[in-house]
Amino acid sequence: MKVEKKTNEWNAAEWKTGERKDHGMEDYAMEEFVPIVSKLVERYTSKESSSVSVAVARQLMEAVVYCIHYGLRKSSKYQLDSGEKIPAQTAYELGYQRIMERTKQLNDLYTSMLPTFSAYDNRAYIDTIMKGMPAFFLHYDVQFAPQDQILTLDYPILRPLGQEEGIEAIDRYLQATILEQTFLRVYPEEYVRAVLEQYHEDHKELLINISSIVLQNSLLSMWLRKPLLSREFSLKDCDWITDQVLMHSSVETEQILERLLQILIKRGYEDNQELYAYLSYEIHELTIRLRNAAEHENMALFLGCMRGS
Amino acid sequence: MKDEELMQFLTLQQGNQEVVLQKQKENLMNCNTYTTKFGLRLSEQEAQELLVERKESLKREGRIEFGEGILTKLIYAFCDSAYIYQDNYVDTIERLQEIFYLYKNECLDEITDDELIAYMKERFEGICQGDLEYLEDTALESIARKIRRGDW
Repeated sequence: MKVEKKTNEWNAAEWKTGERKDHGMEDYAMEEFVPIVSKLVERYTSKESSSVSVAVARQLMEAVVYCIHYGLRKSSKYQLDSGEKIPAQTAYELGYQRIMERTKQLNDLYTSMLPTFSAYDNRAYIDTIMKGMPAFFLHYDVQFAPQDQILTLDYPILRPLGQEEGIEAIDRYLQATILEQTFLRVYPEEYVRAVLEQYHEDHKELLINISSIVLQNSLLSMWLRKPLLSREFSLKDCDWITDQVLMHSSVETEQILERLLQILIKRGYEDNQELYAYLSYEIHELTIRLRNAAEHENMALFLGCMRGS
Repeated sequence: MKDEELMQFLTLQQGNQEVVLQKQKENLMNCNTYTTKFGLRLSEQEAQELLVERKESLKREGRIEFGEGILTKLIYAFCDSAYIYQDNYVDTIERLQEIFYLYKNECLDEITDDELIAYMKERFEGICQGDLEYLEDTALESIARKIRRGDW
C-alpha cells in the first residue's frame, strides 16, 4: 500500500489560503462505514448492550467518518499498489492511528511552548491555554468522539477556525498560538502591556487578540516613521493616518500595510514566511477598521489618541 | 443527515438485508427447542411479527440495534414465567421488548441488557404478578429514578 506523508502539518500556503482539500472521501459509500460503526458500538457498550440511542449511533458514525477523513487528508495518496482505494476498515484504522500520533505530538508541542508562553494577564488567554489545553489532552476521546475538541477556545486567534473540529481544530489553534507568541516575544513585555492598556483599561477581561493590537500599533508606527516601540499616537499622527487612508483606496492601503509587514518580518523575524502568511490575514481586517475610523472621523478614539495627547 | 434519516439508513443496513432477516427469524425459531418445555412455541408468522414489531419499537424509542438484538434473550428469560402461556406469548414478548427499549432510554443506558432483563423478570414475577402495565408504569420507574439520581 502506497502512503505518502506530508512533512509539514501546516505550511505557509495553507495559512494564506485557508484551503482544505477533501482527499478521496467521495470514493467511499456510507454503507461501507456501517460494519465499522457496528464494531465501534460493541466496544462502546463493552458488548453489554445490543442497542444504542440514535444520538450515540450518530456520534460513533461521525467518529468513523472523522478518522477516515483525517487519515485521507494527512496522506496525499491512499491507494493500494493496484490503484484501488484501500478498504474503509483499513482507512479508518490508519486515520485513527494518525490521530493518536498527532495528539501525542501536539501534547509535546504544547508542553514545549509553555515555558515561554505569556498571556499578558488576559483571562480568556489564560483559561484557554493554561487551563483548557491540559483538560483537552486529558479528556480527548480519540476512539469514540475524535470529532469533539471539547474546548470552546474562547480566546480569539487571528484566523477563525472555520469548519475544523476535533484534533484538527486544536492543531490549528496551537499552531496559531505558537505563531502569535513568536510574534509577541520579540517585544518587551512592558511594551505589550502598555499597548494593551492604551487600547482598553479592561483589556484583561476582554475577548481580544493581543497580537492584532500589537501588530496594529507596530505597522502604524512604521507608517508614521516613528520608533517601532512607540506606545502612543498624537492627534497629529491620527490626522495624518486619516488623510492617508482617505487618500488611498482600500486595496492601496492594504498593499502599504502588507509592505510594512514584510519589512517587519524581514528585520525582526528572520523573514519567517509562515509568520508573515499568518499575520497578513490581519491586514485586510486592519484596513477595514482604519477606513471605518477615517470615514467616521474617529481615528483619535480608535487609536486612543485622546488619552494623554 | 437528520436523526430520522440516520435511523432509517442504519436500520436499513442492519435489518433489511434478506440474509440478515432470515438469520434472525431462524434464531427466534430455534428458541422453540427450549421454550416447548414450558408449552410455548412460535410459528414462522409469529417470529416474523416479532421482528416487524422490533423494528417499530426501536423506531419509536429512537434506538438502533446492531447485531442479533434482544428478542432471544427476552424469550429465554421469560419463557418459564408463571404468567405467560401460549395464548398471550407473542403479545407479552412484544410488550416486554417495548418496555425494555423504553427503560434502556429511561435509565440513560447506564444499565446493561442483562441487568435490565433480570430486573424486569424479577418484578414481573413478583410485585407485578404478570401485569405489564404495572411493570412499565410503576415497578421499573424506581430503578430509572435511582439511576438518574446516581444511586445505581
